[in-house]
Amino acid sequence: MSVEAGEVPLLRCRAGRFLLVLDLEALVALDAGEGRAGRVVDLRALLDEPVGRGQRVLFRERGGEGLVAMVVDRGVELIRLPLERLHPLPDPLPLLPGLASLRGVAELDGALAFLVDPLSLPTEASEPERAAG
Amino acid sequence: MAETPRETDELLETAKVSRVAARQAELGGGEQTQIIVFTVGGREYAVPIDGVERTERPSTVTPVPRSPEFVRGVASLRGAVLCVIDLGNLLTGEPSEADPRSFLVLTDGARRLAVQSEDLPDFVRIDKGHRMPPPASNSEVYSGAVERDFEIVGVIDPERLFDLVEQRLAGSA
Repeated sequence: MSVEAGEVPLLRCRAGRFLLVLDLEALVALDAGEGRAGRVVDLRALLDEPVGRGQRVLFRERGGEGLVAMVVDRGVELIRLPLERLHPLPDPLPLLPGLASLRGVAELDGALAFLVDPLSLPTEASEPERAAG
Repeated sequence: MAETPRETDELLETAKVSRVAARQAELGGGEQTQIIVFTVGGREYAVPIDGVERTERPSTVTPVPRSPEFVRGVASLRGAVLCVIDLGNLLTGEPSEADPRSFLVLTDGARRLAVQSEDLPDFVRIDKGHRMPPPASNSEVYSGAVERDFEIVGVIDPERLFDLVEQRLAGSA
């Protein structure tokens, strides 16, 4: 996938009702096999959405060699987005407790998606490694 | 009353220009101020024109995860993504069910957010001497009140409204 200047590559996915985009900086693999991640964070549970059959995305933990698996609804896509269509989370929403991993809002075609920073996922939302499906 | 949001925008621009005239009137002794009246949950609210950055056509609102009910969501308004709140829900606890006909972008310094209105906003010039004490309920967000069509309409102080929204959000664990 080629990325033009002024564009950023992102993963587009869903967690229940919510459309999300994930920063690829620390991406290791899509559909990662079981047993590779030290912990698993189900984004749907984190956002109080129903948890069903999901797709696993593997990221490298910040400042370490550990891996964290993020589980979202099936149908993850790679997209490119112009930088000017990425916005910070508008005030006063950063004051909301428990939303530290939501870093911004992306304007997709006809919809807004929340930008999730995989490296700031709360550890209390983690589960021991288990099957995501 | 303006018929379309575009006309509303033009009126707002006109109103800003006319503040110079209002100031001249003040210097001449006729103390007047302008407010914008809008409707949420069937109830009218007013805000000083200085507290309104602009009005907008209704736009799709995207819900925000794990947010209190008074937060309707986020919306892209002329390229800026803003938080949209249900003012009626914030102040009365009752969700506003009616479809919005316009958005008002409220401002206090660098702070901005959008509120939905069930009607097109109305621009009203009032004599400062006709301001009344704020309504008893939620008096902390009002700077006063005006009488309009035999109803008391609370005039919102934008700074106090933003403070209340921030307090409610921070305490919404």
